[in-house]
Amino acid sequence: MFSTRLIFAYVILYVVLTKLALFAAHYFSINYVFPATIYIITTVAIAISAAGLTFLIARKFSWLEYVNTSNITDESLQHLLLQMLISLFLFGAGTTASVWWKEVPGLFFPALAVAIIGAVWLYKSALLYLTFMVAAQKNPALLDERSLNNQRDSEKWAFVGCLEMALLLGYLDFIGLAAISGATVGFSVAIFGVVVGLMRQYWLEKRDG
Amino acid sequence: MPEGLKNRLRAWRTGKNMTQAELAEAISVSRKTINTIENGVFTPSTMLALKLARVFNCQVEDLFWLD
Repeated sequence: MFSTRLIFAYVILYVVLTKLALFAAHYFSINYVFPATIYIITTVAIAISAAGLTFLIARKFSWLEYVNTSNITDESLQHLLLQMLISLFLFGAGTTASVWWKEVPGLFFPALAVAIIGAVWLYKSALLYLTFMVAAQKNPALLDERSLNNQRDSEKWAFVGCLEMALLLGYLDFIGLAAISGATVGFSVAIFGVVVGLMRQYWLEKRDG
Repeated sequence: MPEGLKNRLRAWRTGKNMTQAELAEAISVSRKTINTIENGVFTPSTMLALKLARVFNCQVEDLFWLD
């Protein structure tokens, strides 16, 4: 019962989880309470376990009768995209703020709480996305040619967003305004690309009324 | 709407006393798709245009034409 679309959804879920965990490993490794290696090994182990567990759960979802899709309508994609945008923003902002304020406990813990809320919400959004894809298998009208057209359009925007961000950061480093690491460029390009793509797709869905 | 492409889908739909949701269900697309076609925001594929014509029992040219 595996369709290409469903497998694609699983892969997205797997990649999102793994990337989140690796990002967390990087984050914890720059907080020096314990040796960085302990954080990295622990977090990567949790990432692999969580991703494996998610994949197993996702396989379970592939039997369509087990997934309750009754509350999914053609308005759901728009709300889902908004949830992904907000949760990604919370996660990104909370993580960045907690790295900046790692020496200030009064600000560090609230920022960390925001990052955790964002991460949990993002995970929930990914599961909702999976449910939407299952619902779209039952009812192809949910992902019809207009919707796919919007998706293709937003992918182009995401691609251009990646290019612009890479150019901007590269230029800032090149002219000596900021010393930017490869990791910063990589994370910034990835997150900015996703955000631009999601924003564009959300706007198009909202426009279509 | 692409330059020159017009449609009278809304007139046909209201003439048949159908809502956007009912028409959408009849051709297996979302209500938003009907809305965007009627407003000229989205240009449907040949397949979709033929399905619409079949619902109204008319020619595609009765629904869409070049200005």
